[in-house]
Order: sequence, then structure tokens, then C-alpha cells
Amino acid sequence: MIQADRRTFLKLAAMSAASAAAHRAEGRTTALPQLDGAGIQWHKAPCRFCGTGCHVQVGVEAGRVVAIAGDREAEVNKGLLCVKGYHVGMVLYGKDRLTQPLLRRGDQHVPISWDEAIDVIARRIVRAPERFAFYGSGQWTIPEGYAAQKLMKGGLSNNHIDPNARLCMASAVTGFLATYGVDEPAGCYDDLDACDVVICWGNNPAEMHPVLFSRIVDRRSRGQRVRLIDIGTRRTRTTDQADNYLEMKPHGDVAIALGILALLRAQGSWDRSFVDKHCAFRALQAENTTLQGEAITFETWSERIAAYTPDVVERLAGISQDDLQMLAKLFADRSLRITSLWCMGVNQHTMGTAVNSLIHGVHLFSGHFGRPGDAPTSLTGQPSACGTVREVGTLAHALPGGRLVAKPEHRAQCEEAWNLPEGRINPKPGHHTVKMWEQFTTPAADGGDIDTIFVQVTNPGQTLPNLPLLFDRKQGQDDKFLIVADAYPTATTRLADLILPAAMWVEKNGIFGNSERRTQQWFKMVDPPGQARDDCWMTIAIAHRLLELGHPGMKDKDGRFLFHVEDEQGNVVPIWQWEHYYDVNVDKALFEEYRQLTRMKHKDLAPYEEYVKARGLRWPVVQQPDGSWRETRFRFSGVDDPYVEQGRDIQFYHSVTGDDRAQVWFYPANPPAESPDGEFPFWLCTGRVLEHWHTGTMTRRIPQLLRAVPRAYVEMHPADARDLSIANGEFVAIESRRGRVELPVWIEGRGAPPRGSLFIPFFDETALVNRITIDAYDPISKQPDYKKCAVRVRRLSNGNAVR
Amino acid sequence: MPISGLVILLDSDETDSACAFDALRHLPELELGDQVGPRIAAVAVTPSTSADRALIDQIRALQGVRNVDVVFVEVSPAVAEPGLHHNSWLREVPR
Ligand code: SF4
Repeated sequence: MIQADRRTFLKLAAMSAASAAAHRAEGRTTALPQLDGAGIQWHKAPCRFCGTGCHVQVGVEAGRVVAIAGDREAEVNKGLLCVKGYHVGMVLYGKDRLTQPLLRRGDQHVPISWDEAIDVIARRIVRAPERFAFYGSGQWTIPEGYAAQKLMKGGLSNNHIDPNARLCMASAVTGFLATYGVDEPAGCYDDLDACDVVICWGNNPAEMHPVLFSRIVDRRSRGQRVRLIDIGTRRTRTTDQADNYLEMKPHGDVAIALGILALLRAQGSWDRSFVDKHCAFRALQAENTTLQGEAITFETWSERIAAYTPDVVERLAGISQDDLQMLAKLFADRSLRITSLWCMGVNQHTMGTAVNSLIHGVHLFSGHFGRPGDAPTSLTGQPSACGTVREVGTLAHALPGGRLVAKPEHRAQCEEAWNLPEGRINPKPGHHTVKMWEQFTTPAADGGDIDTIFVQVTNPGQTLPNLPLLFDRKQGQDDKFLIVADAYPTATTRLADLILPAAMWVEKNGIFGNSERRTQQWFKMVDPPGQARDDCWMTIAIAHRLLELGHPGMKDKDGRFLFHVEDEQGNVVPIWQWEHYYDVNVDKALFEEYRQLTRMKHKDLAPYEEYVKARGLRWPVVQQPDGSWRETRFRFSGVDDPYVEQGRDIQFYHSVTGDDRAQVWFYPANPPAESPDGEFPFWLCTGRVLEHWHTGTMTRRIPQLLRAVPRAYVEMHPADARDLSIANGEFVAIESRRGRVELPVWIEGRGAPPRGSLFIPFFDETALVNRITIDAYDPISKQPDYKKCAVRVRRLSNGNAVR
Repeated sequence: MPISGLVILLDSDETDSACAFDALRHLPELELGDQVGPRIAAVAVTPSTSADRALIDQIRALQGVRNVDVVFVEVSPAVAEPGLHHNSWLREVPR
């Protein structure tokens, strides 16, 4: 092929992608021209980055990704991508990819073979299986998480498995469970096309879920009226588009939700019919903080909520009484369709379960539920936080399909599905993330009961709160052994004893589940570099080595290997051997096994092949009389959910009270774990930026993104900077009771915190903001609060702390 | 020579959008395609990825342009720029 042909073809492909996206954005259909040609093959895949779950078309030529286009057939993004998404192909080609296993010897890492690496891990586990922990993430594919889950809970009878998603959406899970008895949003992204009002509760979708946000902007550009209300602790790019910006004090969201409920109650403007038919009332027990709480009467609930009058809310939350009245008036208007969006601001919160439940409560109490556009919808940050963590259940207390290790019948169901002897699964929940790392970094002599952790697809050396306590203490403890599989060197591999090179994204088969219950499949397209291998293979190879070492848990009741896979002729395929791993589709085998466990909580998944054909399907996916498979957009609502009984408008069929009712909660507004004082006078909030995804291990290796935002900074109000004689760009030290980080100050930058508040993004491994964050967490979800702690600012020029 | 596919969203103000359309037609790196309502499909061919970014910023800044979505990007080695420096400790490790 001559080069000119290829260039011409790429230009045609680019124009075709642009033309199709323009048509789709205007709601017009157009014939989709084929992209294939000139030696380039195109395949579908979800974007590797955020929980929005856009689909891309990946152009592959001669074993290399050569182009990325927004997928015109994808409902999520309709051909559009954000700045990260259109650079996603470059994540594979950073110059410092890890390409072979490395074992720490003294102060060096030396290359070893995969056989040695797997043997080292298996022997560490066999020595003390109960002191081993597996730490994964919402970037695990569904089969990867499922395999890790089965190895730990089904094989090792060990529940010390938790994901980094504990740090990002555990409070959303507990909020859904406490309210509906089952996890994950009832609505979906279609709500954004139908709503009249969008309320952003402490989140910034313009930067964090940009393609979703563009749906709102697009509707406005077509002349539709969509009112956007931004409730936040600092001005962001979302604020730029907002009709109303309600600046609240940190932690003020609890009081705002309570205040709306109190006004609806006091003014008699709640939806009596909806509440009478579909709601019950609940609060925490006085002596015990549990997810279930206790039932209370409407009268008791009303008495408690009545304390949150507009003047009290103004004092607690800092928003004006007029703004609170405005919110209550919107919710009182049943002719409007209101969508609430939230993400980390509400979840990373010592009252995360409470505020999640209260936002659901506002929607339920006002009847803004169950119609397209009328929904409380939490968003996730990672591409498979929902699919792999919440649905597969890779949390220390969970089992697949919404089951719990503590419930005998749930353990029995999994033991039966996995053909395991009765009693194999341990009934005691394992360590949640903060506890796991605290135990790992606590010397054994002081009671630290974890001595080996295997980390896959995440970077706790950058993301854990209070890093000095939860991560850095590992250094120098020779009996603690840290295994890290990743594609690149990270802040975590820095302290690793064994580093495993991992295949990433389209270098392997995969399945993700995005924020709107959409399960998305893709195939491997290119080979990983050097000796990098799939995370799922690592798990299976370790299990098989454990079997060889005689661990009894690696066999089922019939003596078969835990990951027994046969080909179409019925022959066992030795998938633990890398050279045979792709002889069969291991993802398909694991997915078909897993999906049998998804029906109990009506999270039904279709057969694997259905996802091969689709750009994702939203569960429950049920088979129709004609044999086709149908997805569900609006759960619990008679308009769409196949599990709602005929003739009913709403049915909360997993109600914790067993009467098809959702729970409207009361929680008192308690203070945050730490607040500014004389010594540490500033609030600190941490978060993300548009150009970088999470810890930047991928996006910092994409030159265009790194150039756009090369390093972290601290946003500060100009008046604070003036008071402290700090110039824009000047380096300062930000100190908390836990540690210190040095950063340049950005005044009037992209975000604008109010006086007394600072913001620092966490993507930069050269300035680890989690050295100063607090490890306080929500007592129910165990999710830490990264959004508020107390800090001070020290000028570096004269070394004095300024307060 | 990176190739990008763009969707350019014009303002609802007719005078501004006509001005923007005229300015876009005169950008030599840009080839315009279908216009669908206020959106124009376009392809940019630039000498480097930084020029690509600069062109997109330039389009975004035009009076009468409301937004630019990038929907196609070439990732060939031919358009890769020199790797940026990471403070990667692993580079010092013998392999
Ligand atoms: S919004 Fe998220 S999923 Fe979509 S392209 Fe951007 S990073 Fe990828």
C-alpha cells in the first residue's frame, strides 16, 4: 500500500466520523459509511477511562493502534469523546511500559521469569493464606474481578479482597441498599435527555463526565430549556454553565437535603399519593449504626426533620434561605422532571451513606421518581466500578449478584454455583480497604494481621488517604510483601517487592459495566509489549500453582480445578499456561458462569454473545418471547421494568421491608471528622481535572494531556493569597496533621474556591496530596472523606507558616 | 502530519456564525464537510500534535464558534512526539 492511499483513507475515515457525529448530535440518522480499508481494521471498545462508558472505534494496523474515533453507534456518546477519550489509544505506548516480572533483591528490582514470579506468590499464600489480601479496582474487567473473587472467597476461604472503588462509591452502594434494598441507579443517561432541571450535588460533570455533560449543553444549543443548578464548595466549569450556583460550606449537603425535606413537609407540598403508596420511613437506631437502621413512623420522621428549618440550614450549610426555598419549590412542582447527579463530593464523605440516602429521600418524598428525566442518579468514576465491584461483588463483605458473605443462604448459593463443599465460604467479612492497608502496614508484632497484598489495576500508593500511615509505613518491614501488577511504574510499584507487567485495555479481552448499568464487551486487538500478560491469567496461574502445592481449596467437590475450562470438544484447556490462555475465550467462560448468579437481585445479564453484537446493554436484560434480549432503562417503573407487576406504576421489588416500599431516611447532620482551627485554618478539598484520569499513570504518559496540565497545583482564593502575601505560581507547602506537600499556587485558575478553602488535584505522582488527607471514613460504607480536612499554608520563601 | 476529525458547533447568532464559517473556510489546515444544523464536520491535517491542539484552540476562540468536539484522532507512531519525562525511578533499575 502506498502511503498516500493510507493518508487519504485516514482523512476519509476522520470526515466520516465527524459527519456521523454531527448528524447524531442533531438527532438525525445517516447511513454509516464503513471505516474499514487501507489495511486498517476497526473494532469497538469502551473507553479505558471514566465511568461514563463512552464507546470508541479503535483503528488497528499491523498489530498497533493507529487511530481512535468516537463510536457513532454508541448510545452513550453518539460518536463524541472528551479530550481523554480521543487520546485513549496512546495509553498503550508510553515509553516506560513494564515488560517483565521484577523481584526486589536488596534495594534493586531484578528480572525474573513468570514461572518464578507465580511460584513466589503461591508460596507466600500457602505459608499463611489468612494473612493474604487481594486489592483490585473498578478498572478490573468483570472476568478479572470474578476470577479474583472466586480465588479468594471460593478457593482460599478468605474474604480479604477489596477494591479501590471502596474509596469512590461505597457510600453510593450503601445509599441505594438502605433506600431500595438493592444497589445501582434506577434511571439512566436517557434521563438527561428528558429532564427539565439538573441538580449537581457537589460534583463537576463538565470535567469529570464531560460527554454526559455535553448532552445538557447540546440540548440547550438546540433551544431546549434545561435548568442547571450547581451545589458545590467551589466554582468549576460546571458552574460556568449553571443557572444557579449555591455555594455551600463543606459537609453542608446533609443539611441542604434535610432542609428540602423539612420544607416540603412543613408546606404540605410533598407527593402524598406517591409516599402513601410507595414509601416507608427509617432512621438509625440510637445505640447502633447499621445499614438497616429501624423503621419509624411518618410522625416521628416529621418531628425529627422539622428541626432543619431554613435558618438552621443557612447556618449549617451556608446557602441562603431563599436558595433553599427555591430548591423546595422545584421539588414541589410535579410538572417538572428533575434529575439529581452526584459523584465523589457526596460519596467521599464521613456521612456518605446519609447524604446518598437523603438525596434519594428528597426525590421519593416529592414524587420525582419513576418517569424519564425524574431520577436520583449517582455517577461512578471508574469504567467498571459498577460492573466489577458492585455487581460481581469484589468487596470484603460481598458475593456475586448482590449477595453477602454473612448470609448463609447466599454462601450456599455461591457454593452450589461453584460446586464447592458446604462451608467453604467464610461467613466473616474481610478487611475493607482502609483496614486492610492499616493491617498491612502495622508490624505483625503490633497486631498487623496482613503480610502479603496483591494489587491489580490500581495505585494505592497514590490514592489511599493518609499515605504516611496507610502506605509509607510498609517501607523497611521485610516481613511484609507487596505484589503489584501494572502497565507502568507507579507510586505503588515504588515499594513493591514483586512487580508484574500487565496487559492493558485492548491488549486483552474485556467486559466493563458503566454508571448506567450498561455491560460492555470488547475483544483483544493488539499484543501487549514484552512479557506483559493479562491480570486474569495471573490469578488463574496463581490458583493452579496453589493446586500444585496441594492447597485443597483450589479443587471443587469433584476434584476439578477451580478454573476448569473445556473447549468445544470437551477437552480441558490448560488456561493457567500462558501459551494456552487464548486457546479459548476465558472471558466468555467466566462470564457465562458469573451471569447465572445475577438473577437473584434482578440484575440479569444476557449471554456473552449478545454483548459482542451490542454497544452495551443495561441490566436487567431479559429474554423476550421471540428469543431476543431486551435491556431496561428505568427500573422499578411500570413504563419500562419487566419485573414490575402488570398494572403497577412503581414497585420497589427489593424493598427491605418486604412490602414493595422504598425507605425515606432521617439522619441528623453531624459535624465533619476535622474542621479548620487556629493551627490548621484552611479547608482542603481534593479531586480530579478534565485532562487526567485518576492518578495520571496513563494520562501523564500522553504528551498532549501532560502538556495541557503538567503538574498539580493548589487553587486558592485571591484574597487569601493577598492576605498571606503569596503570588500566583509561588510554591507553598500545604501541611496537615498527617503530612506535607509542596505545590505552586494557582489563583483564579480553572476552579475558584471561596475564602478559607483550597483545592488540590490528586493526579500528580510528584506531589502526592494524599500525604495530607485524612483517613476518617463513613461508619457504614467505610469510604474515606477526601473532600475535607484541615490544613495550613507555609510559604517556602521564608519558611514561615501563614495562617 | 496528524489527522483529526472535528465537529464544530456554531453560535445561534446568524451574523456571528456566518463570520465563523468564513474564518473556518480560510484555515488552510482545515477541510470542511457536511453542515448539519449548527454543526460542521471537518478534518484537520497539521504538521504536529501541538499544531493540531493549537488549531483546535484557535477554532474554539473564533467569534461565532460555540464548541469543538474532536471525534477522530490518529495515533500512528508517525505522529508520536518525543516521550515526556516521568520521574520514573524504574529507569535506573537494571533490566
Ligand atoms: S467522558 Fe469518560 S468515557 Fe467518555 S471519552 Fe471521556 S474519559 Fe472516556
